Amino acid sequence: MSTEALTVPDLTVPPTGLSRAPRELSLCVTGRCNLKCRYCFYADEMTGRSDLPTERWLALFDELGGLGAQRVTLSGGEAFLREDLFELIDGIIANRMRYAILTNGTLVSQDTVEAFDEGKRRLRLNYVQVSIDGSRAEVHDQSRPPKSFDRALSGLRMLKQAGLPVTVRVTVNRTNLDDLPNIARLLIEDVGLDGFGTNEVEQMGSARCYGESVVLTPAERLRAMDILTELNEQYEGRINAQAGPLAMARHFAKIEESLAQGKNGLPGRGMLNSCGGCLTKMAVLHDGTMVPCDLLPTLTMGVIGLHSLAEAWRSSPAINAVRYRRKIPLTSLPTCHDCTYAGFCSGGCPGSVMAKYELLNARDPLVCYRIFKGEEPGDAAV
Amino acid sequence: MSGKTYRANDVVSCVDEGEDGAMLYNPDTDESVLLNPSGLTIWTLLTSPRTIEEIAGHLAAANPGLTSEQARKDAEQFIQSVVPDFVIEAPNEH
Repeated sequence: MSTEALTVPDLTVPPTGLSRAPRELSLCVTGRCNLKCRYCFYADEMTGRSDLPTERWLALFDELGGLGAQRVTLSGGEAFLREDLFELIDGIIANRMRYAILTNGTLVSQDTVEAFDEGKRRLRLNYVQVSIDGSRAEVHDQSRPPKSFDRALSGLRMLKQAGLPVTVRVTVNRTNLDDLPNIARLLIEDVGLDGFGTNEVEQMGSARCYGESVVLTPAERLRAMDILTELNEQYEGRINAQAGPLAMARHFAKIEESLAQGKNGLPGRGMLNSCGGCLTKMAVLHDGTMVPCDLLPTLTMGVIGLHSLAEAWRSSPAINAVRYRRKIPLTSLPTCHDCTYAGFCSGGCPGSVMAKYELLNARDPLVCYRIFKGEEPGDAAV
Repeated sequence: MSGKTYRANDVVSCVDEGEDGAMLYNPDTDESVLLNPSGLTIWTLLTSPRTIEEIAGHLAAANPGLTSEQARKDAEQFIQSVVPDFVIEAPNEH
Protein backbone atom coordinates (compact mmCIF):
# COMPACT_ATOMS: atom_id res chain seq x y z
CA MET A 1 0.00 0.00 0.00
CA SER A 2 1.14 3.53 -0.71
CA THR A 3 2.77 5.02 2.38
CA GLU A 4 2.43 8.60 1.16
CA ALA A 5 -0.05 10.48 3.33
CA LEU A 6 -3.09 11.70 1.45
CA THR A 7 -4.26 15.23 2.04
CA VAL A 8 -7.86 15.46 3.13
CA PRO A 9 -9.44 18.10 0.89
CA ASP A 10 -11.86 20.75 2.10
CA LEU A 11 -14.99 19.40 0.47
CA THR A 12 -16.70 22.78 0.54
CA VAL A 13 -14.08 24.09 -1.89
CA PRO A 14 -14.43 22.92 -5.52
CA PRO A 15 -11.48 21.74 -7.57
CA THR A 16 -9.54 24.44 -9.41
CA GLY A 17 -11.04 25.35 -12.76
CA LEU A 18 -14.57 24.15 -12.04
CA SER A 19 -17.17 26.09 -14.02
CA ARG A 20 -19.57 28.36 -12.15
CA ALA A 21 -22.54 26.18 -13.03
CA PRO A 22 -23.19 22.74 -14.56
CA ARG A 23 -23.27 22.53 -18.34
CA GLU A 24 -25.58 19.52 -18.31
CA LEU A 25 -28.16 18.08 -15.96
CA SER A 26 -29.99 14.81 -15.71
CA LEU A 27 -33.55 15.56 -14.58
CA CYS A 28 -35.74 12.72 -13.34
CA VAL A 29 -39.01 14.55 -13.93
CA THR A 30 -41.20 11.85 -12.45
CA GLY A 31 -40.90 8.89 -10.14
CA ARG A 32 -43.97 7.32 -11.68
CA CYS A 33 -43.69 4.62 -14.31
CA ASN A 34 -46.23 2.56 -16.24
CA LEU A 35 -43.86 -0.43 -16.19
CA LYS A 36 -42.15 -2.25 -13.36
CA CYS A 37 -38.98 -3.53 -14.95
CA ARG A 38 -36.89 -6.04 -13.09
CA TYR A 39 -33.76 -3.93 -13.30
CA CYS A 40 -34.90 -0.36 -12.97
CA PHE A 41 -32.04 1.47 -11.26
CA TYR A 42 -34.41 4.23 -10.20
CA ALA A 43 -36.87 1.97 -8.39
CA ASP A 44 -35.28 2.64 -5.00
CA GLU A 45 -36.14 6.30 -5.32
CA MET A 46 -39.74 6.05 -6.45
CA THR A 47 -41.65 5.27 -3.29
CA GLY A 48 -42.61 7.94 -0.81
CA ARG A 49 -41.49 10.92 -2.84
CA SER A 50 -43.84 13.17 -4.80
CA ASP A 51 -43.17 14.60 -8.24
CA LEU A 52 -42.41 18.30 -8.33
CA PRO A 53 -45.28 20.30 -9.84
CA THR A 54 -44.94 22.07 -13.17
CA GLU A 55 -44.16 25.49 -11.73
CA ARG A 56 -41.25 24.19 -9.65
CA TRP A 57 -39.63 22.64 -12.72
CA LEU A 58 -40.24 25.80 -14.74
CA ALA A 59 -38.63 27.85 -11.96
CA LEU A 60 -35.64 25.51 -12.09
CA PHE A 61 -35.32 26.02 -15.85
CA ASP A 62 -35.34 29.79 -15.30
CA GLU A 63 -32.53 29.33 -12.77
CA LEU A 64 -30.59 27.10 -15.16
CA GLY A 65 -31.07 29.54 -18.03
CA GLY A 66 -29.60 32.31 -15.90
CA LEU A 67 -26.61 30.11 -15.11
CA GLY A 68 -25.96 29.22 -18.75
CA ALA A 69 -26.68 25.49 -18.50
CA GLN A 70 -26.68 23.98 -21.99
CA ARG A 71 -28.36 20.58 -22.01
CA VAL A 72 -30.79 18.59 -19.90
CA THR A 73 -31.79 14.95 -20.13
CA LEU A 74 -35.35 14.19 -19.04
CA SER A 75 -35.99 10.78 -17.56
CA GLY A 76 -37.87 9.16 -14.71
CA GLY A 77 -39.71 6.96 -14.02
CA GLU A 78 -41.33 7.38 -17.39
CA ALA A 79 -41.08 10.94 -18.65
CA PHE A 80 -44.05 10.64 -21.04
CA LEU A 81 -46.34 9.98 -18.07
CA ARG A 82 -46.13 13.69 -17.27
CA GLU A 83 -49.06 15.38 -18.96
CA ASP A 84 -47.13 18.64 -18.82
CA LEU A 85 -44.03 17.19 -20.49
CA PHE A 86 -44.18 19.49 -23.51
CA GLU A 87 -44.84 22.48 -21.26
CA LEU A 88 -41.62 21.57 -19.44
CA ILE A 89 -39.82 21.20 -22.77
CA ASP A 90 -40.99 24.67 -23.82
CA GLY A 91 -39.61 26.01 -20.53
CA ILE A 92 -36.26 24.43 -21.36
CA ILE A 93 -36.29 25.93 -24.85
CA ALA A 94 -37.26 29.38 -23.54
CA ASN A 95 -34.19 29.23 -21.31
CA ARG A 96 -31.79 28.61 -24.18
CA MET A 97 -31.10 24.94 -23.56
CA ARG A 98 -31.30 21.71 -25.53
CA TYR A 99 -32.85 18.50 -24.25
CA ALA A 100 -32.96 14.72 -24.59
CA ILE A 101 -35.55 12.23 -23.37
CA LEU A 102 -35.02 8.72 -21.99
CA THR A 103 -38.16 6.59 -22.29
CA ASN A 104 -39.46 3.04 -22.31
CA GLY A 105 -41.23 4.00 -25.55
CA THR A 106 -44.57 2.44 -24.68
CA LEU A 107 -46.49 5.72 -24.38
CA VAL A 108 -45.28 7.26 -27.62
CA SER A 109 -48.22 7.89 -29.94
CA GLN A 110 -48.78 9.73 -33.20
CA ASP A 111 -49.94 12.73 -31.14
CA THR A 112 -46.70 12.62 -29.18
CA VAL A 113 -44.65 12.58 -32.35
CA GLU A 114 -46.60 15.49 -33.87
CA ALA A 115 -46.18 17.53 -30.69
CA PHE A 116 -42.45 17.73 -31.45
CA ASP A 117 -43.26 19.83 -34.52
CA GLU A 118 -44.34 22.86 -32.50
CA GLY A 119 -41.91 25.75 -32.12
CA LYS A 120 -38.31 24.72 -31.57
CA ARG A 121 -39.08 21.38 -29.93
CA ARG A 122 -37.62 19.40 -32.82
CA LEU A 123 -34.66 21.73 -33.40
CA ARG A 124 -33.57 21.59 -29.77
CA LEU A 125 -34.04 17.85 -29.33
CA ASN A 126 -30.72 16.02 -29.04
CA TYR A 127 -32.29 12.57 -29.04
CA VAL A 128 -35.02 10.33 -27.69
CA GLN A 129 -33.59 7.14 -26.24
CA VAL A 130 -35.88 4.11 -26.12
CA SER A 131 -35.11 1.04 -24.01
CA ILE A 132 -35.31 -2.15 -26.06
CA ASP A 133 -34.04 -5.32 -24.42
CA GLY A 134 -35.11 -8.04 -26.81
CA SER A 135 -35.77 -8.72 -30.47
CA ARG A 136 -39.21 -10.13 -29.67
CA ALA A 137 -41.80 -10.03 -26.91
CA GLU A 138 -40.75 -13.35 -25.35
CA VAL A 139 -37.36 -11.86 -24.52
CA HIS A 140 -38.09 -8.16 -23.90
CA ASP A 141 -41.16 -8.86 -21.76
CA GLN A 142 -39.41 -11.34 -19.48
CA SER A 143 -38.28 -8.40 -17.43
CA ARG A 144 -41.26 -6.13 -18.09
CA PRO A 145 -45.06 -6.34 -18.06
CA PRO A 146 -46.77 -8.19 -20.96
CA LYS A 147 -47.11 -6.31 -24.28
CA SER A 148 -44.30 -3.92 -23.37
CA PHE A 149 -42.28 -5.00 -26.40
CA ASP A 150 -44.96 -4.36 -29.01
CA ARG A 151 -45.68 -0.92 -27.60
CA ALA A 152 -42.00 0.01 -27.22
CA LEU A 153 -41.18 -1.08 -30.76
CA SER A 154 -44.19 0.76 -32.13
CA GLY A 155 -43.09 3.92 -30.31
CA LEU A 156 -39.55 3.52 -31.62
CA ARG A 157 -40.76 3.11 -35.20
CA MET A 158 -43.03 6.16 -34.95
CA LEU A 159 -40.20 8.32 -33.69
CA LYS A 160 -37.90 7.04 -36.43
CA GLN A 161 -40.46 7.51 -39.20
CA ALA A 162 -41.07 11.08 -38.06
CA GLY A 163 -37.40 11.78 -38.62
CA LEU A 164 -36.72 12.54 -34.96
CA PRO A 165 -33.25 11.76 -33.62
CA VAL A 166 -33.86 8.43 -31.94
CA THR A 167 -31.50 5.98 -30.32
CA VAL A 168 -31.85 2.77 -28.34
CA ARG A 169 -30.25 1.50 -25.17
CA VAL A 170 -30.04 -2.27 -24.73
CA THR A 171 -29.48 -3.36 -21.15
CA VAL A 172 -27.66 -6.68 -21.29
CA ASN A 173 -28.97 -9.18 -18.75
CA ARG A 174 -29.43 -12.90 -18.23
CA THR A 175 -32.64 -12.99 -20.25
CA ASN A 176 -31.36 -11.38 -23.45
CA LEU A 177 -27.74 -12.51 -23.69
CA ASP A 178 -28.43 -15.10 -26.39
CA ASP A 179 -30.76 -12.71 -28.21
CA LEU A 180 -28.13 -9.98 -28.74
CA PRO A 181 -27.46 -10.88 -32.41
CA ASN A 182 -31.21 -10.75 -33.13
CA ILE A 183 -31.53 -7.42 -31.29
CA ALA A 184 -28.73 -5.94 -33.39
CA ARG A 185 -30.38 -7.21 -36.58
CA LEU A 186 -33.76 -5.79 -35.55
CA LEU A 187 -32.46 -2.36 -34.59
CA ILE A 188 -29.94 -1.80 -37.38
CA GLU A 189 -31.30 -3.78 -40.32
CA ASP A 190 -35.04 -3.69 -39.71
CA VAL A 191 -35.75 -0.46 -37.82
CA GLY A 192 -32.84 1.23 -39.61
CA LEU A 193 -31.07 2.88 -36.71
CA ASP A 194 -27.55 4.21 -37.26
CA GLY A 195 -26.52 2.22 -34.20
CA PHE A 196 -27.45 1.60 -30.59
CA GLY A 197 -25.96 1.69 -27.11
CA THR A 198 -25.46 -1.04 -24.56
CA ASN A 199 -24.88 -1.34 -20.84
CA GLU A 200 -25.62 -4.08 -18.33
CA VAL A 201 -27.91 -4.69 -15.39
CA GLU A 202 -26.34 -3.65 -12.13
CA GLN A 203 -27.24 -4.76 -8.63
CA MET A 204 -29.25 -1.66 -7.81
CA GLY A 205 -32.89 -0.58 -7.78
CA SER A 206 -35.31 -3.40 -8.49
CA ALA A 207 -32.44 -5.65 -9.58
CA ARG A 208 -31.67 -6.01 -5.88
CA CYS A 209 -34.89 -8.07 -5.65
CA TYR A 210 -34.53 -9.93 -8.95
CA GLY A 211 -30.74 -10.18 -8.98
CA GLU A 212 -30.34 -13.86 -9.72
CA SER A 213 -32.75 -13.77 -12.63
CA VAL A 214 -31.27 -10.74 -14.35
CA VAL A 215 -27.70 -9.90 -13.24
CA LEU A 216 -25.03 -11.55 -15.41
CA THR A 217 -22.77 -14.14 -13.82
CA PRO A 218 -19.02 -13.64 -14.42
CA ALA A 219 -19.11 -16.34 -17.12
CA GLU A 220 -22.08 -14.71 -18.82
CA ARG A 221 -20.36 -11.33 -18.73
CA LEU A 222 -17.39 -12.83 -20.56
CA ARG A 223 -19.75 -14.23 -23.17
CA ALA A 224 -21.49 -10.88 -23.49
CA MET A 225 -18.12 -9.23 -24.08
CA ASP A 226 -17.32 -11.68 -26.87
CA ILE A 227 -20.77 -11.47 -28.48
CA LEU A 228 -20.88 -7.68 -28.46
CA THR A 229 -17.31 -7.33 -29.72
CA GLU A 230 -18.12 -9.64 -32.63
CA LEU A 231 -21.40 -7.86 -33.40
CA ASN A 232 -19.68 -4.49 -33.29
CA GLU A 233 -17.19 -5.73 -35.87
CA GLN A 234 -19.98 -7.14 -38.00
CA TYR A 235 -21.87 -3.82 -37.87
CA GLU A 236 -18.72 -1.72 -38.34
CA GLY A 237 -18.62 0.07 -35.01
CA ARG A 238 -22.31 0.93 -34.82
CA ILE A 239 -22.71 -0.47 -31.30
CA ASN A 240 -21.50 1.82 -28.57
CA ALA A 241 -21.04 1.61 -24.82
CA GLN A 242 -19.88 3.87 -22.03
CA ALA A 243 -20.22 1.02 -19.54
CA GLY A 244 -21.10 -2.65 -19.50
CA PRO A 245 -19.61 -5.64 -21.32
CA LEU A 246 -18.65 -3.92 -24.58
CA ALA A 247 -16.96 -1.02 -22.80
CA MET A 248 -15.11 -3.49 -20.60
CA ALA A 249 -14.03 -5.59 -23.56
CA ARG A 250 -12.53 -2.50 -25.20
CA HIS A 251 -10.86 -1.41 -21.98
CA PHE A 252 -9.34 -4.81 -21.31
CA ALA A 253 -8.16 -5.09 -24.92
CA LYS A 254 -6.41 -1.74 -24.52
CA ILE A 255 -4.72 -2.97 -21.35
CA GLU A 256 -3.53 -6.11 -23.08
CA GLU A 257 -2.21 -4.13 -26.03
CA SER A 258 -0.33 -1.82 -23.67
CA LEU A 259 1.09 -4.69 -21.66
CA ALA A 260 2.32 -6.30 -24.87
CA GLN A 261 4.14 -3.04 -25.63
CA GLY A 262 5.83 -3.20 -22.22
CA LYS A 263 3.87 -0.31 -20.72
CA ASN A 264 2.90 -0.26 -17.06
CA GLY A 265 0.04 2.19 -17.31
CA LEU A 266 -2.08 4.47 -19.46
CA PRO A 267 -2.21 8.27 -19.43
CA GLY A 268 -4.74 9.60 -16.93
CA ARG A 269 -5.13 6.24 -15.18
CA GLY A 270 -3.99 4.96 -11.81
CA MET A 271 -6.36 7.17 -9.82
CA LEU A 272 -10.05 6.85 -8.86
CA ASN A 273 -10.95 9.14 -11.73
CA SER A 274 -13.21 6.99 -13.88
CA CYS A 275 -16.09 9.41 -13.79
CA GLY A 276 -15.51 12.96 -14.95
CA GLY A 277 -19.23 13.56 -15.13
CA CYS A 278 -19.47 15.56 -11.95
CA LEU A 279 -17.11 18.17 -13.39
CA THR A 280 -19.74 19.20 -15.95
CA LYS A 281 -22.98 17.52 -14.89
CA MET A 282 -25.29 16.96 -11.96
CA ALA A 283 -28.79 15.58 -11.47
CA VAL A 284 -32.14 16.45 -9.92
CA LEU A 285 -34.47 13.71 -8.68
CA HIS A 286 -38.23 13.90 -9.19
CA ASP A 287 -38.89 15.42 -5.76
CA GLY A 288 -36.36 18.18 -6.32
CA THR A 289 -33.40 16.64 -4.51
CA MET A 290 -30.12 17.71 -6.09
CA VAL A 291 -27.57 14.90 -6.37
CA PRO A 292 -24.23 14.52 -8.18
CA CYS A 293 -25.69 11.82 -10.44
CA ASP A 294 -28.95 9.88 -10.60
CA LEU A 295 -26.86 6.79 -9.82
CA LEU A 296 -25.80 8.45 -6.55
CA PRO A 297 -29.23 9.28 -5.10
CA THR A 298 -28.11 9.19 -1.47
CA LEU A 299 -25.51 11.93 -1.88
CA THR A 300 -27.82 14.86 -1.28
CA MET A 301 -26.66 18.32 -2.32
CA GLY A 302 -29.82 20.23 -1.43
CA VAL A 303 -33.32 20.78 -2.73
CA ILE A 304 -34.19 22.97 -5.69
CA GLY A 305 -36.20 26.01 -4.74
CA LEU A 306 -34.84 25.85 -1.19
CA HIS A 307 -31.14 25.94 -1.98
CA SER A 308 -29.16 27.72 -4.67
CA LEU A 309 -28.21 25.30 -7.40
CA ALA A 310 -25.10 27.32 -8.30
CA GLU A 311 -23.93 27.25 -4.70
CA ALA A 312 -24.64 23.53 -4.32
CA TRP A 313 -22.78 22.90 -7.59
CA ARG A 314 -19.60 24.47 -6.27
CA SER A 315 -19.74 24.05 -2.49
CA SER A 316 -21.68 20.87 -1.72
CA PRO A 317 -19.43 18.30 -0.01
CA ALA A 318 -21.57 15.56 -1.59
CA ILE A 319 -20.54 16.39 -5.15
CA ASN A 320 -17.03 17.53 -4.25
CA ALA A 321 -16.44 14.14 -2.60
CA VAL A 322 -17.05 12.55 -6.01
CA ARG A 323 -14.81 15.10 -7.75
CA TYR A 324 -11.94 14.60 -5.30
CA ARG A 325 -11.93 10.83 -5.85
CA ARG A 326 -9.61 11.64 -8.73
CA LYS A 327 -6.92 12.64 -6.22
CA ILE A 328 -6.92 9.15 -4.69
CA PRO A 329 -4.34 6.73 -6.11
CA LEU A 330 -5.73 3.26 -6.65
CA THR A 331 -2.70 1.87 -4.85
CA SER A 332 -3.92 3.53 -1.66
CA LEU A 333 -6.95 1.19 -1.65
CA PRO A 334 -6.65 -2.09 0.28
CA THR A 335 -8.03 -3.98 -2.72
CA CYS A 336 -5.51 -2.53 -5.15
CA HIS A 337 -2.32 -1.75 -3.19
CA ASP A 338 -0.39 -4.61 -4.75
CA CYS A 339 -2.09 -4.62 -8.14
CA THR A 340 0.33 -4.55 -11.04
CA TYR A 341 -2.44 -3.27 -13.31
CA ALA A 342 -3.33 -0.22 -11.16
CA GLY A 343 -1.69 2.08 -13.69
CA PHE A 344 -4.26 1.02 -16.27
CA CYS A 345 -7.31 1.38 -14.07
CA SER A 346 -9.59 4.23 -13.03
CA GLY A 347 -11.77 2.40 -10.54
CA GLY A 348 -15.14 2.21 -12.26
CA CYS A 349 -18.44 4.00 -11.78
CA PRO A 350 -18.89 5.62 -8.35
CA GLY A 351 -22.62 4.88 -8.58
CA SER A 352 -21.96 1.16 -9.00
CA VAL A 353 -19.49 1.21 -6.14
CA MET A 354 -21.96 2.98 -3.83
CA ALA A 355 -24.74 0.57 -4.75
CA LYS A 356 -22.53 -2.42 -3.94
CA TYR A 357 -20.67 -1.25 -0.86
CA GLU A 358 -22.22 2.02 0.37
CA LEU A 359 -18.72 3.41 -0.03
CA LEU A 360 -17.57 6.04 -2.47
CA ASN A 361 -13.83 5.52 -2.40
CA ALA A 362 -13.53 1.95 -3.58
CA ARG A 363 -13.10 0.27 -6.93
CA ASP A 364 -15.81 -1.56 -8.80
CA PRO A 365 -14.96 -5.26 -9.19
CA LEU A 366 -16.81 -5.28 -12.54
CA VAL A 367 -14.06 -3.18 -14.12
CA CYS A 368 -11.15 -4.92 -12.38
CA TYR A 369 -8.72 -6.42 -14.86
CA ARG A 370 -7.07 -8.53 -12.15
CA ILE A 371 -10.43 -10.16 -11.35
CA PHE A 372 -11.11 -10.53 -15.07
CA LYS A 373 -7.83 -12.41 -15.40
CA GLY A 374 -8.72 -14.60 -12.40
CA GLU A 375 -5.70 -13.36 -10.49
CA GLU A 376 -7.66 -12.01 -7.50
CA PRO A 377 -10.08 -14.17 -5.57
CA GLY A 378 -13.34 -12.62 -4.44
CA ASP A 379 -14.54 -9.09 -4.93
CA ALA A 380 -14.19 -7.49 -1.51
CA ALA A 381 -14.06 -3.72 -1.82
CA VAL A 382 -12.04 -3.00 1.28
CA MET B 1 -17.98 44.33 -43.41
CA SER B 2 -17.74 48.12 -43.39
CA GLY B 3 -21.04 49.84 -42.70
CA LYS B 4 -22.81 46.71 -41.59
CA THR B 5 -24.15 46.50 -38.07
CA TYR B 6 -23.96 43.45 -35.86
CA ARG B 7 -25.63 42.38 -32.65
CA ALA B 8 -25.65 39.39 -30.32
CA ASN B 9 -27.89 36.53 -31.40
CA ASP B 10 -30.71 36.55 -28.82
CA VAL B 11 -30.75 32.80 -28.57
CA VAL B 12 -27.12 32.61 -27.41
CA SER B 13 -26.28 32.28 -23.72
CA CYS B 14 -23.11 33.68 -22.22
CA VAL B 15 -21.46 32.36 -19.08
CA ASP B 16 -18.82 34.59 -17.57
CA GLU B 17 -16.14 32.37 -16.01
CA GLY B 18 -14.09 35.24 -14.58
CA GLU B 19 -10.39 35.10 -15.40
CA ASP B 20 -11.05 32.21 -17.77
CA GLY B 21 -13.14 34.46 -20.02
CA ALA B 22 -16.61 33.40 -21.08
CA MET B 23 -18.42 30.70 -22.98
CA LEU B 24 -21.05 31.45 -25.60
CA TYR B 25 -23.52 28.71 -26.44
CA ASN B 26 -26.05 28.57 -29.26
CA PRO B 27 -28.67 25.93 -28.39
CA ASP B 28 -30.13 25.97 -31.90
CA THR B 29 -26.87 24.76 -33.42
CA ASP B 30 -25.35 23.16 -30.29
CA GLU B 31 -22.18 25.16 -30.96
CA SER B 32 -20.11 26.88 -28.28
CA VAL B 33 -17.14 29.20 -28.34
CA LEU B 34 -14.76 30.43 -25.67
CA LEU B 35 -14.12 34.15 -25.42
CA ASN B 36 -11.10 35.75 -23.81
CA PRO B 37 -11.74 38.84 -21.65
CA SER B 38 -11.40 41.16 -24.69
CA GLY B 39 -13.90 39.06 -26.61
CA LEU B 40 -16.27 39.25 -23.66
CA THR B 41 -16.00 43.04 -23.72
CA ILE B 42 -16.99 43.09 -27.39
CA TRP B 43 -19.80 40.61 -26.78
CA THR B 44 -21.20 42.91 -24.07
CA LEU B 45 -21.13 45.81 -26.54
CA LEU B 46 -23.13 43.76 -29.00
CA THR B 47 -26.24 43.71 -26.83
CA SER B 48 -26.97 46.77 -29.01
CA PRO B 49 -26.28 46.84 -32.76
CA ARG B 50 -22.74 48.04 -33.54
CA THR B 51 -20.64 48.66 -36.62
CA ILE B 52 -17.06 47.43 -36.92
CA GLU B 53 -15.94 51.04 -36.57
CA GLU B 54 -17.82 51.43 -33.30
CA ILE B 55 -16.40 48.21 -31.90
CA ALA B 56 -12.88 49.25 -32.96
CA GLY B 57 -13.43 52.65 -31.33
CA HIS B 58 -14.33 51.01 -28.01
CA LEU B 59 -11.32 48.69 -28.23
CA ALA B 60 -8.95 51.58 -28.95
CA ALA B 61 -10.40 53.61 -26.10
CA ALA B 62 -10.07 50.72 -23.66
CA ASN B 63 -6.52 49.86 -24.78
CA PRO B 64 -4.44 53.04 -25.17
CA GLY B 65 -1.52 51.10 -26.68
CA LEU B 66 -3.65 49.79 -29.53
CA THR B 67 -3.47 51.60 -32.90
CA SER B 68 -6.76 52.31 -34.62
CA GLU B 69 -5.68 50.04 -37.47
CA GLN B 70 -5.01 47.14 -35.10
CA ALA B 71 -8.27 47.79 -33.22
CA ARG B 72 -10.17 47.56 -36.49
CA LYS B 73 -8.40 44.32 -37.42
CA ASP B 74 -9.21 42.85 -33.99
CA ALA B 75 -12.85 43.87 -34.32
CA GLU B 76 -13.12 42.36 -37.80
CA GLN B 77 -11.41 39.17 -36.71
CA PHE B 78 -13.77 38.79 -33.76
CA ILE B 79 -16.88 39.37 -35.85
CA GLN B 80 -15.70 36.90 -38.50
CA SER B 81 -15.21 34.24 -35.83
CA VAL B 82 -18.70 34.57 -34.31
CA VAL B 83 -20.98 35.32 -37.30
CA PRO B 84 -23.52 33.82 -37.88
CA ASP B 85 -23.94 31.40 -34.96
CA PHE B 86 -23.35 33.82 -32.12
CA VAL B 87 -23.60 37.28 -33.67
CA ILE B 88 -25.96 38.25 -36.48
CA GLU B 89 -26.06 41.06 -38.99
CA ALA B 90 -28.59 43.71 -38.09
CA PRO B 91 -28.54 45.94 -41.17
CA ASN B 92 -31.54 48.07 -40.36
CA GLU B 93 -31.33 48.27 -36.63
CA HIS B 94 -28.67 50.94 -36.17
